[in-house]
Amino acid sequence: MSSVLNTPIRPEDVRSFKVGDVVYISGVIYTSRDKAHVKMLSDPKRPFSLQNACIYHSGPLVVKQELTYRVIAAGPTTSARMNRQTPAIIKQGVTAIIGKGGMSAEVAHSMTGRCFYLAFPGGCGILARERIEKVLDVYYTELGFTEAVWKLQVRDFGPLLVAIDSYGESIYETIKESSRERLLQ
Amino acid sequence: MNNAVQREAFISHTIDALLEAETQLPSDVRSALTSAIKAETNKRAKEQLQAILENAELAAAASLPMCQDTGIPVFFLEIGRRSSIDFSLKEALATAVQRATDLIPLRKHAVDPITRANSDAPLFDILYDVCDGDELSVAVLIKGAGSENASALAMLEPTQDVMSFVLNTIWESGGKPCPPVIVGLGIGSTFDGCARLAKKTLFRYLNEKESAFEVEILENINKLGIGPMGLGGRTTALRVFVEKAPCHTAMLPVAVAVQCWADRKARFRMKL
Repeated sequence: MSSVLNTPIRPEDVRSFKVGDVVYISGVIYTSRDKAHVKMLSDPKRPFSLQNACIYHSGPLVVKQELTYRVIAAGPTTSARMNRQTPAIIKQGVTAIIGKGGMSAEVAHSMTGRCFYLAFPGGCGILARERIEKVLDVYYTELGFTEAVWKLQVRDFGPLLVAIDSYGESIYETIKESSRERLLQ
Repeated sequence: MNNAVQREAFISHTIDALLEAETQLPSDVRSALTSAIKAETNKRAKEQLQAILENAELAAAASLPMCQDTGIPVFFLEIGRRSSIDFSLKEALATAVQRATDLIPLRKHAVDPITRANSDAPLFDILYDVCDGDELSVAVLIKGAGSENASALAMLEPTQDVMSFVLNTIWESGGKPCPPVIVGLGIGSTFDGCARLAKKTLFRYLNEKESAFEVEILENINKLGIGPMGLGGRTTALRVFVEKAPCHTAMLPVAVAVQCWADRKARFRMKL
């Protein structure tokens, strides 16, 4: 099944997808990686809401041109580095996480019933750039452009493979198990 | 040529090499990916590989970095022993990286390793070798953090198995280093020596003739079924390179240098 989802994405939207489905997202997504995850969780005055929000694990390459920002490349970063903070982020209402390389079994468990993980092809910075319509805002620039939170308007952002669904299924866990068996052969 | 002219020419060639590496996926890597698509029977794996090739084409056409992680440039300098270089190569490389950061552009992602505060210091590494002749040969390899983080080093005991260590390293990292990866193996030498051997193999071309041992490791890695981006399939690695050096009878140092599919490399030569 392949379809376009508009943000905000509600938990009931998430629950209609299963591992292996392909989706495209249109609307607003927020980039966030290592430092921004820590900052978001400790900031009592967080300038944006995570309720039904879509987080994109990415440290885009952005340059400032006079009064505007130009996104040069914006592929996903390794999601597993954010394993530790993600259950708390999901509790704040995040319903979709885009990244690459997968997340832990504990994170998959914390997504049950309310969030899914979408894999964007790693390293594909220009494919991602093509689907970004504009930079709507930027937060936490004191962390630097790579680690800041970029609020992006996207259109048909994808292809995104549902790699962890809201029913506890994770492609990564399945493959980890089958490859472990082959490793021991 | 006087020193200043020589230095400027070197910086200019280095910037061109950085631009080429960041924006043009080398033909040996493109061929390997194209063959992998044909060999894959897994639909998901084929789709991931197709996206990778499409991204590479778009980046080349737009002359923009193919990946937002513009990485750490690793320079491999082979200095002809009859050449005469009257400027600091390290300083000239730092200047080239700094200028390329604004020109290409490259992402600013250097931090202090302890405070984690952002740093403006140019980020790069240098490997040296001295060779015959009067030329300076420069190769650059762009190393992304995802694959560098998947690399590993072990001081094995001489009776331990190298193959198990390599396979475990690849298994542990799963989809994190952006497979299909290129695996550079350094076996023997010392703690730091094996890491240098491993890193140097990554400057080789994927279509060079393989040894039987390299083929054996590649087949074992691809039997794991991790696949492109860790989503399943037979293409976990495109190539394995092995370099060895003698070691102490009490030791077996092994380093596994992992490179992502975005195996960005370029080279140039200068007569000095």
